Order: sequence, then structure tokens, then C-alpha cells
Amino acid sequence: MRTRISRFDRRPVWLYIVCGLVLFFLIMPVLIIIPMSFGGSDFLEFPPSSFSLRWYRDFFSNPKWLNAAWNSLRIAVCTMVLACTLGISAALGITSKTMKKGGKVFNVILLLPMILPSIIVAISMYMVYGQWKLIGTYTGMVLAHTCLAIPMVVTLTAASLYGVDSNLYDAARSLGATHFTAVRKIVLPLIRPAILTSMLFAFVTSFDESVVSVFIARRNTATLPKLMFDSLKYEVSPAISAISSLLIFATLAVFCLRFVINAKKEAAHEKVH
Amino acid sequence: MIFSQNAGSGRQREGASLPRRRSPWISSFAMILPSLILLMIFYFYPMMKLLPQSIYEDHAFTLQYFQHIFSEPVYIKTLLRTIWLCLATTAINFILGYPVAYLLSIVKSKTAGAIMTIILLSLWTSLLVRTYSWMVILQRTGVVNSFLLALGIVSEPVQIMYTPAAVLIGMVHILLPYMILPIYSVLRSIDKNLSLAAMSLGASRTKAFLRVTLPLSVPGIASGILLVFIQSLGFYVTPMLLGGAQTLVASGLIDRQIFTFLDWSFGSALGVILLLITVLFLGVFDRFFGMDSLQKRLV
Repeated sequence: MRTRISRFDRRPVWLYIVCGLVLFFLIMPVLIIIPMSFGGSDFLEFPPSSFSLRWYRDFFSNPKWLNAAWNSLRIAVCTMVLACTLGISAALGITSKTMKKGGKVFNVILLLPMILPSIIVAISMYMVYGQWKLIGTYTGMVLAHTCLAIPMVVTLTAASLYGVDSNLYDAARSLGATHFTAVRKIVLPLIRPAILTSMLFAFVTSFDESVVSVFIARRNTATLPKLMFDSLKYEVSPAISAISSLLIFATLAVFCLRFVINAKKEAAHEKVH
Repeated sequence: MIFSQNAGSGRQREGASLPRRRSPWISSFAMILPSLILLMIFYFYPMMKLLPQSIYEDHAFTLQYFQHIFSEPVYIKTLLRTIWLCLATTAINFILGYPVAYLLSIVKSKTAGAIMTIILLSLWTSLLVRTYSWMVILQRTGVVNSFLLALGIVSEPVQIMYTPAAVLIGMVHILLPYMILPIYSVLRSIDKNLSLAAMSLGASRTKAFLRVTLPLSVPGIASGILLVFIQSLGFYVTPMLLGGAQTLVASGLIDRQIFTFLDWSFGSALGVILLLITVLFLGVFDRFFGMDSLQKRLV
């Protein structure tokens, strides 16, 4: 096919140029921050004139930042556990054939927190959580982040569940397994890659969440994004470049982790088919 | 799409679905219930409280806050600036994002995987890190100004930070993946033979694209526009840091009403206006494409 009508298959050069520029635009900021974080000057300069690790030392010797990193981590882990437990259960319910039309409505409700403008969420939570004495508490942070992470988990898990052959579940049931045994022993192992990915994204959603955290976190529960925002409001400090680079390295690590999960996913698929 | 990296692989299998007959409706519902309750109490209830907050004053109905917004030129200007910035962000993202999505759909899967890695890496880099990068790049002594000065294009640093341009650049950069991914998700499911058939019947490449591929990709374009526009409406961190007080947008105005003037009702009224615009957009999208189609574009 391709050789016969190659006239139709020529790709315009300008398309490659435009896309190259757009992709450069996407990745450039990230690439600029990393070299800058190793600069030794008191001011931000690119390219840095001297090499130093002072901003990294600053970060690791500042209890305020370390505390924020620890908070982010703790809140993200709690969010991950809660959002995945609730979200996976919901995805199982939504994808079940018995839900028929109602499933769609619930699906949309569970999807909305991913779409609605963040400032509205932040001020409404700030107002009501304030009345409930949840401002500045870990409970409040975890609950708020869980609301934002559930849509990710549901979307990811549901997509994977639609791909599972329902005959496998039926076979288990016909052999005498209860609904929950069949789900636990047959369905969940089949969607394990999706579950791992959901956990990762629930974690990242919480770890990266900035707007709601800025409103409902206080000094003791401040997360990294909240602290970064507060400090950037007053000055563009080079110290932030070290934290930013560390976060970029963490993102890269998450990426590698996802490659491993994806490879597993493909292996699992081959096993089924 | 936003989650998956399997670029270039075929359409998702659909249809086959889990528990079939024996588990009754109620047990499926029971599995959804915990998430539903949590969201209702900690997400939707607070949001619904905005409306009474904005229209009641000492238990009496009043529209004074809305009147206040629409009678003060400064507030109208801020709202119009917000909408203008959001529309510009959406339009620029479409112009920049469509070619990338299109290229992704026609290159070999290995190249597509590489392009996808760049897009996802950008998407999953912390929002604050990306905003910070732009502050560094655009500031008076930043990368752009050093570059322009070195080339002799300008004789003194240009003020870019705290202008609408800075906010626009930041928002376009952060939201671009949300435009590319839904469009790509639709483009890759379009049968390539359709445009080949058009060309074999005498259509030029451009004509085949305009008459076949582009119309078929409309659902993806609509999803991209919806995601970018709605998210840009509520953008807070990026406009606050890149625009400052000089380029105030709706979210910054809300922030100021609540934190500086402690005027909850006024802030809520602004929130309600943003929410109404959002609901309007979602309603139109649902009418033509269906809300559940959005979810398919995301995975």
C-alpha cells in the first residue's frame, strides 16, 4: 500500500519544523532549571558562571523545607491509599453491567472533580472546611486531595476493567465463587497494572496539588507546592531552583517506574490473549 | 491519554464488561457509594454553599453582590480580561497543539513514543516548577532578556513579567498537553484509508485533510477546547505569580476579596459567576458530544 501510493504519503517538512518548535517550547523550561540549580551566584543566571551545590545544601539544611517535603509525602501516601480503595471499588461498580444507565450519571459525577476550575474548589473548601475546623489539619488536606484524586483512579481503573473478558468472571461464579471472591481472585489480579498506575497518579495528584493546598494548609501542614508558592509571591529566589530540580528528578523517576508498569501491562495482556 | 503512554497502539477495546447477571444493581451501587458520599460531603457540598453565601445577607435574599460586580468598571474589566486570556490560551493551544497531535498520529510508533514522552514529562512536572521556570525565563534579568540584549535587538531589558503576555505564555505552556492528548486520541482512531481514498479520487493533500480528517477529529478538538478553557478559567497559581497585581484575573480578584477584604459574599458571587460559565460550557459539550466521551479521551 505504502509503496504504491507513496505520493500521498509524503509528509510536509513544515509540519516537522512546527512540531519541533512546539515540543522545544514544552520541554525548554524544565531543561533550563536544572543547570541553573547548580549555579553558585546569588542571582539567577543562565548559563551559570560557576558550579556549586549551595542551593541543594540550603534545601537539605532548612527544617522548614524538609518539613514541607515530609508533609507532602505523608499526605500523598494517605491520599493514595484512601483514593485507591474508594476509587477502585467505585470503578468496579460503574463498569458492572447491572448499572446500565445509572452508571453513566455516577461516572460523570465522579469525573467532575478533575474538570471543575480549581479556584472555585479552593474557596468553597476554604469556607466550609473552616467551619468544620479542618483548616490546617492533615485530615482536611487528605480529604481534599482524595476528592481530587478519585476521578483519576476511577477513570484509569474503569478503562482497564472494560478490557477484561467478562467470561472469566462468569466462569469463576459458575464454579461456585462468590461475587467478592471472583472479583478478588480473578478481576483484580487481571487489572493489577492499572491499579499500580492509579496508585502512582493518586500519589502525584496529591503531591503536586497547589491551589487547594494554598488555601487550606497552614504553617504546620504546609506542603512543598504551598511553601514554594508563598515564597515565590515575594521573590524569585534561586533556592527554589534546587527544589524544582529535585522535583523534576522525582518526576523522571516516576516516569521510569511507569515504563516498568507498562511493560508488565503488556506482559499481562499477552498472558490473557 | 493523559495517563497512558501506549502511543501508536490501536483503539481501546470496548463492550465486554464485568459482573453480568448475578450481582444485583444494589451491590454495584454499594461499591460506588463510599466515593459518592465522600465527594458529596467534602467536594460538592462546599461548592453548593457558594450560592447561598452569595445571595443571602442576614437570611434575606439579595443580589447586591452581583450588582456590585457589574456596576464597578474595575471588576468588569478583570472579568473581561480573564475571559479574553482564557479564549486566547485556548485558541493558541489549538493552533500549536493540532499539528503535534496530527504528527503523532502519522509517524511510526517509536517516534510517537518519543514525542509522547516529552509531552507527558511536561504535563507531569509540578505546576509550580513550570511556573517558576517561566518566572526565571521572563524576568528582567532572565533568559529571554539576556538573549535579546546579547543579540542587540533591544538596548535595555523588556518588561515581560507581570504583563498579560507573561500570564498567557505560562497558561499556554501548562495547558498545551490537555489540548494535544484528546485530539490525538481521536486522530489515531480515524481510519487512514479514508483520506487515502479521498486523495486517490483526486483530492489534494490539503483538501483531503480539510474535508475528511479535520471534520472527523471534531470530537477531539471539542474535548481539548473544553478541558483547556475550563481549567484556564480557574487558574490561580500561574496568573498570581506571572501576572501579579498588574495583570489581575478572576481568581486573583477572588483571592483578594477573601484574604484582603474578608468579603466572603463578594468572593462567592465571583465564584458563582465562574461556575455558571463552566456549567454552561459543560452543558453545551454534553448536548453535542456527551460527557462520558470526555473520559474516553483522557485514558
